[in-house]
Amino acid sequence: MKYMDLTIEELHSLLVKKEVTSEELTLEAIERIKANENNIMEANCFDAALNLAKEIKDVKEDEYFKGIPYLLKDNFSTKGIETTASSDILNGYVPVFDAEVVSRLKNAGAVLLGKTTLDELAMGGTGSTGHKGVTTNPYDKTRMIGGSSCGSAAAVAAGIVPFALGSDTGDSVRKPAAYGGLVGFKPSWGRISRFGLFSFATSLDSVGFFTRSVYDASKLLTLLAGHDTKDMSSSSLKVEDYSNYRTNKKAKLGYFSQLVEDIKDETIKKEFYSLVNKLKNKGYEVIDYSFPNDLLNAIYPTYMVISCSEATSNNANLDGIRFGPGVENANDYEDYVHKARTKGFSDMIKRRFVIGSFSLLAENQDELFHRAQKARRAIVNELNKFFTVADGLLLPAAPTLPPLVSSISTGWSYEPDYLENHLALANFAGCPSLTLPLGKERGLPFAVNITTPIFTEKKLLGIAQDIEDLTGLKGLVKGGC
Amino acid sequence: MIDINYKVLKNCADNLKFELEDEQIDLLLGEFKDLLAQMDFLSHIEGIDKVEPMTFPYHDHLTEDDLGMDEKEEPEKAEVELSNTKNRLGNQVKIPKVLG
Repeated sequence: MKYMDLTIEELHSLLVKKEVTSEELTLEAIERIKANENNIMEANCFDAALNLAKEIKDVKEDEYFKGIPYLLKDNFSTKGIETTASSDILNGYVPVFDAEVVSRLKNAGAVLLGKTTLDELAMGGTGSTGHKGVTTNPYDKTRMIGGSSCGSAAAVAAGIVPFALGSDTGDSVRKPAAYGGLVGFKPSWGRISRFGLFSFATSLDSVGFFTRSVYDASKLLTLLAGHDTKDMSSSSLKVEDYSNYRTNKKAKLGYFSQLVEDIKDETIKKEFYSLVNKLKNKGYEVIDYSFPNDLLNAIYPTYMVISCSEATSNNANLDGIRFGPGVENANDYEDYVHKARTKGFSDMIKRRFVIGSFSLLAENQDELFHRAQKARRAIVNELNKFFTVADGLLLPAAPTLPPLVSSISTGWSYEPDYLENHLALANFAGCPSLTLPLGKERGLPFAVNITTPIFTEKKLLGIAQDIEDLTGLKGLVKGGC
Repeated sequence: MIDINYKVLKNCADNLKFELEDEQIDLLLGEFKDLLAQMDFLSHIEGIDKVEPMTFPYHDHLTEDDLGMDEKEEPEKAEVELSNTKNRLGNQVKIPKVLG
């Protein structure tokens, strides 16, 4: 039996009944990591994981994560484990503290096996810009898994671990989840502490995660959510038991038909409308909402200007002195930092920083950074208007099957592409948003996404559970990779 | 807004403390052309100049009032901190020379 193909819920049940040990689970996961030829890992901590797993003898009913192996995106601080965010400028950096989410999982008895690769500094969506190369899709290695949380997504999709953590600034958990046939969840901004998460764009970043079922996602949220005095953007709003989400009251959902109609993949379009009909038959009201096209077109440039500007500022501390390998033979401080940053960042990251820096110049702010911030407000105002007539937004998570690796480009598109970028709506507004599998075409998964108003995680999970029941795609895994 | 050209972008890179090769600047000039074309869409949004810039998703529930007493914590052992550097002098991190 391949345990790592199961959900956390199934593994937990086996552990409680003593039908398997945490050590056996950990050994199988390590074996699968070693056998996997995809570019998934940055660092591992197998010895510590095995030592912890061996100590776990009894698992109680309410110890959901105890003894369960997991992986973590390499932009979370882990005490004593090298953490590079897949950038050469952080090679050799060993944090001296754990991120809050790592502490919580540690306290819950989850078994960390190592760190997964990502697009450099989480600034990418292809899974190809990390310093260790391209991460591919377990369903077809000629295709992308997407990014930036590429290693975490590929690991869960390939049956290496039952869950993994990522981070989501524009769609960095939810898009790879779509391409990997997984549940990908980004909670409300501030719902989970970001202490110890390397900042990309502070006003947009959220901790997120990959699981193989909606229920597992709800349990993970219940564990990780909550106020943290170490993160000043952490919300003090009361935490609920998010796994208690089932309700007979059906929500009113909406979708943007102009967006769905623009999708060229007929199967994705057909299955989306089929889901709408099934939801109606289940008691949901589903409406077509006309979201202004100019605001949809504004999503991509707004996201790029805000995220590049915030990233430029957030990464100014990467000077080669406080973190990373540094350089030899520098003449003075300026020269040292200049050489370290020239050597440490890839060309793509440098170009993004220049765009951010240019947008923040005093002479340019009104026409670039502030205009993007105003567009964000206008987009969010319209989204909130939508939420006055519907409880949730339902859309295809991606307009295509996972794209071919050979099609990857790190350049810009001239035309705004809201089909590929609409998931950023949830980051703009800070809303919870979840992607889950909708179907398969030629053996490749495609997905649907749900977004609900800020801090309505329970409602979101209830809708997602109904969809999971309708599709029957709980526990989807490629496995054996 | 400042006109975008080779010199301006070179200067931006210099302010950001890294070298940008000419080939990358050429790429950037093309990317800026596309970006500014896209930003032009934003200027046509009805009422765009009447809304306030949005800095964060919300300001409720945040923790401005949570500045409480510090909790005393034991500092890390020196070996943990020293694991981050190859350059050490005794029990201390040897930092690069920063003054000319």
